[in-house]
Order: sequence, then structure tokens, then C-alpha cells
Amino acid sequence: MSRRKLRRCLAVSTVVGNMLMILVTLSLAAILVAWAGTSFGAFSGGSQLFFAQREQALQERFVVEEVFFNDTATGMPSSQAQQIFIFVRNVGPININIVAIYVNGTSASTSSPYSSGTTGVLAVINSGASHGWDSFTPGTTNNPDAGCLAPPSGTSVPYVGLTVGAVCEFALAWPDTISPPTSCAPNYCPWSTNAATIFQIVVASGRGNQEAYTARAT
Amino acid sequence: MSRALLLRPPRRRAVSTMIGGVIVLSLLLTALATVLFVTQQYDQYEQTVNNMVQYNNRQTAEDLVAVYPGLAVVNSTISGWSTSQSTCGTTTGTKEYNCYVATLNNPGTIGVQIMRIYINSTGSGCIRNPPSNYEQPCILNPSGTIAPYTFDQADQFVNPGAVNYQVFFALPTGVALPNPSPPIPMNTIVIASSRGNIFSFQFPLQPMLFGQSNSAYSQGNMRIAYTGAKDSGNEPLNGGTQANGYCHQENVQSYPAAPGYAEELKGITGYGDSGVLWFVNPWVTLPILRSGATFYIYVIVINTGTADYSPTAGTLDLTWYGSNHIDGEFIGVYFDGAFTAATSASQPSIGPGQWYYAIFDTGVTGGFVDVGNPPTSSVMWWGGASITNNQKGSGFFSGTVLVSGLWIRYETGTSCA
Repeated sequence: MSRRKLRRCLAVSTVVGNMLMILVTLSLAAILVAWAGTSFGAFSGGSQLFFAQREQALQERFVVEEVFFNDTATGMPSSQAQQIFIFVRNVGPININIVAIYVNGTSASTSSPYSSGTTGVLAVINSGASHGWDSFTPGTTNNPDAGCLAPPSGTSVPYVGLTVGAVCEFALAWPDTISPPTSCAPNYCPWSTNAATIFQIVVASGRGNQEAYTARAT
Repeated sequence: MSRALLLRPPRRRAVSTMIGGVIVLSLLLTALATVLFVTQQYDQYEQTVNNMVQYNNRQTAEDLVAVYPGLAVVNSTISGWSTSQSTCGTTTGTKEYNCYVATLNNPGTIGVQIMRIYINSTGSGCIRNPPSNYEQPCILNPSGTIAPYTFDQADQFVNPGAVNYQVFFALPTGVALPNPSPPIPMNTIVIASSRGNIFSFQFPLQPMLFGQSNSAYSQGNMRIAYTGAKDSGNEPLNGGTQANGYCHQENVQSYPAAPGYAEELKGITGYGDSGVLWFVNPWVTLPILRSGATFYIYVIVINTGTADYSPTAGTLDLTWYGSNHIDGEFIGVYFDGAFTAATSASQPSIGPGQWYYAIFDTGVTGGFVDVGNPPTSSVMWWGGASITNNQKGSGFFSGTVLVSGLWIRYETGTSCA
């Protein structure tokens, strides 16, 4: 092959090679940039969500103001003749949702955990609306609070919303008689049996915060 | 290599360097933007953390303390809230509400906003309406206009360092404090603040004496003991069993006592007081002090009734009958920083929850004679074992003595609520 022809061939292959290399480089760069962008985006998005949730959880402040044990209700079935009234106030800067209340380690906000035909139910007295936690008709009250909100209708998971500064009154029905008395476990015995005079009450919010309160039944 | 070749710019490397530079720069810029974004998020989070730490500090700085008398009845106009005197009643008019005033100090370093007041142990005072009819604590919310179960909205903010700050509140006339239903009249007042703090005190307020609260010297029903025979028929409202060596705790009496009520004990063998004793319901809780050569007995009396009264006369008898018992004539009261002699024409009016020193002159200037322990004669005494076990000998009153469950005996028995 002549030197001239050889030089032409070398020139073509050099251009093609360069173009191929550029193409490969650009492709890899595009992949790298895309991967980096996705990763950075996911990282930043995740951190944004993480910090937002942490912020909201950190801003939650609620307190159990008062716990009152009532054993003198009339006109109520024996399974609900005693009540524990729990007053919870939102003292933080954001709205909160109360999703569960535990009494002596047992959730009182779901279906009845109690035996012997008794029922343990949770009701929001002053929400002004019926919802999943209402299972007996509350009477009128002299302390309504408009900031105590029932969940929207059709909500499968019961919760109670508290606006900033609002106070909600929860009524936990409690059996006053269990027959035979020995059939009740310590965590849900009537306090008249002196089997569970100390009540550990934990109020849980939707963002994972808890407020504990220990009270002795009268 | 020729000089011209060396000076020629590397055109191909320039292109690839530019491309590489753009790529690296874009990556660096993306990373930088991400770091900036995350840093901004973290900074915002730290701001929230800082805010909530400050919130916690403010919450911790809150403090409210009830001061004597804790609560007091209000029968007059409350400026800005109760414009009509008849609203809270007068001594002669018909009142619409039972009005009270709580006296508070704020020793904290930050103002306190009172959001709600709970009053426990009100018995049947606060009943939720049918169909449930269940009790609840009395719940008082702030209100600009006077109404049952409210407190004056103007009193909602307690400034830091406030002393003797007054918070007025109103209850229905059917709810009186202290609550008459519990056997031991006592209410718990719970004050909830806007920052989630709970401050509480008991009413009647427990006096702090010598650094000890009332729990140190107990509070309970009067205990009566006899070594002689006791006739239950002569002890009205009591019941019990007739027996020698009889000792029992007085049954819970209706509270507050009916006007002029006093329990009458008759036929106490050996007691030289015409066979009549009177026990009335002011709660007497403390102490006996020695003053100079003459023994004066100072007894703190808390008015646990729901009406004012004025102590006017009475005697105190601590131990067994005979010449060796310790008794004293009521000579006056020390109340609100002033002594008023029993002979004075104007006696102080003691409101519900207020307490005073009732002062008795024993007339004793020397030691006491040991009459034997246990005594052999018919004996009646008040109070706890500390009295009965330590009542002999001159050393008994050498210092301050706490007396448990002591009660006053009024000769007239009619002047207490």
C-alpha cells in the first residue's frame, strides 16, 4: 500500500475512533450524570422527608391533663358502668392525631380485649361527632371543645385530631362487675376488686410520640 | 521534534478536556446542589430542634404555687366579671353562683397562661347530664362573662413573680368547696397551663408547720377511747358497742355539719363537767407550744366547713380527768397576723379553708404530776397514741409537740359551721 493510501486509511480510522470514543464517553457520562442525579435526588428527597417527619414529630407536644375514675354512672350496662376519663391537650405548635390509648399495656382503642362478655370501648365525649371509637352514646357535656376532631367518615383507622391548644376528653368504659371475679386479668379488673387499682395509661400519637400517665383509681 | 510542532495547541485534547470538564463540573454541581439542599433541610431541622429546646426551657420555667388560704369564698362583686353583687351572693341575698378566689404565686421566670382548672373530689357536684349520669371532675374553662364552671378570663395570665395573684371562678350553687361528700373534706385543685404543666394543691390548704406538711401529723376521724364503761345510747350519731376498754373511731358524720351541730357525749364516768362533752367539726391539727413559765396551748384550727364562723369561747382538755389533766381556757385567736382576745367585742371571721391559732391558757406554771401509766381511773382522751404515751411527767412539754387528731371542745357547741 502506498504511503498516501495508508495515510488516508489511518485518518479515517482515527476520526471514527475518536468519534466512537467520544460517543462512548458521552454515553457513560450521561449514564453517570443520570445515576448521580437520581441518587442525589433520592438522597435529597429522602432527607427532606426524614427531616420533615422528624420536625413534625419533634414539634408534637401533648399532655394528659387529668385522669378521673368514675364508678357512679347510672343507666349504663354493667360492662360500661365504670369509666376512666382521660383529658388530653395539644400544647404544641402543630395539630396532632391521637391514634391509640393503652391502659395497663392493653390497647383500649380497638375492639374489646375484655372477656366474660364485657366490653372495653373508647369514646370521644366532646368531639361532637360519632366515629369508630364511639360505642355508647355520650351525654351532653359542659366542656365542649371545637378543636377535638373526629376522623372523616369512612376512615378505617380510628383516630382523633386535636388542633393547637385543644383538649379532648376520652372516656374509656370499664366493667364494674365480672363474674366470677377471678376471671379477669389484672389489667382489666374492676377497680372495686382492688386487683388493678394502679392504672398505667399511655396515649399515642400518629407520629409515634407517647405520653404516659400513672393514676390510682379511687 | 520541531519547534512549530511543540508550539501547536493540542486541539483534540482540548475537546475531550472540555467534555470531561463539563461532565465533572455537572457532577460536582449536582452534588453541591444536593449537599446545599440537604444542609438547608438540616438547618431547618436544627432550627426546629432549637425552637423546641427553647419551648422545653420555657415549659420548665413555669411555676405556680398556691398560697394561703388557697381558696376563699367571694360574696361580693368581682371587678369586670361579676358586676352584680347578687351574682356571687351576699350574706343576705340570694346568690346565683358559688364564687371563689384562688390565691397564687408565680415564682417562675416566665408568665403562665391558665387554660383550665379541674377540681376533684367534688362527689356528686359535677354530674354529666343524662343519659349517662356519670360523675366527672369539675371542669372550669376561661370565660369573659361569669357562668357556672368558668373562671375569669381576665385572670388567665399570671405574670412572672406575681404574688398573691387572684383567680376568680364560679361554680353552681349546688357545688360547695370544700366538698361535703368525702369523709375527710378535701378537694384537689388542678391548674393546667398552656405549655402543658399541671399545678395542683389541696383545699383546705395544708399548712406547713416546722417544715412539715399536714401529712406528718395526719388527719382523720376523731378517735375516742375509754377505759371505763361507755353507753352508746348516750353517744348520738355514733353507734358502736358498749364495752370496757372500748376504743373506736368515730363514724363519719354528715359534712358539713348542720348549723350549730356538735356531737354530744353524755354519761362519761368520772368526767366532772356535768356529764356533757361537745365535739365540733373544725379540724384541729396542731401543736402545743410552751411559752415562758406558763403553758399556753396553740392549736391550729382549719375551718373545713363551707361558711364563715367566729370562735368565741371554749376550753381544751387534753387528757384524763382529775387534777392532773391538762386543760386550758380559750383566751383568743391569732389570725391574719393579729391576736384577738376572747373578751373582745369583735371577733375575726374565719372563712372556709382558713386557719387560725386558737390559744388556750392552761394556767399551769410548773411540772405535771405523774398519775400513773396506765391510769387507773376512768379516762377519756383525744388524739393519737403520742399523747397517751407521753402525757406524764414534766418533760412532755419541754418542746414542741405535734398532736394528732386533736379536737376542740366548745362549751357552747353552737358557734361552728
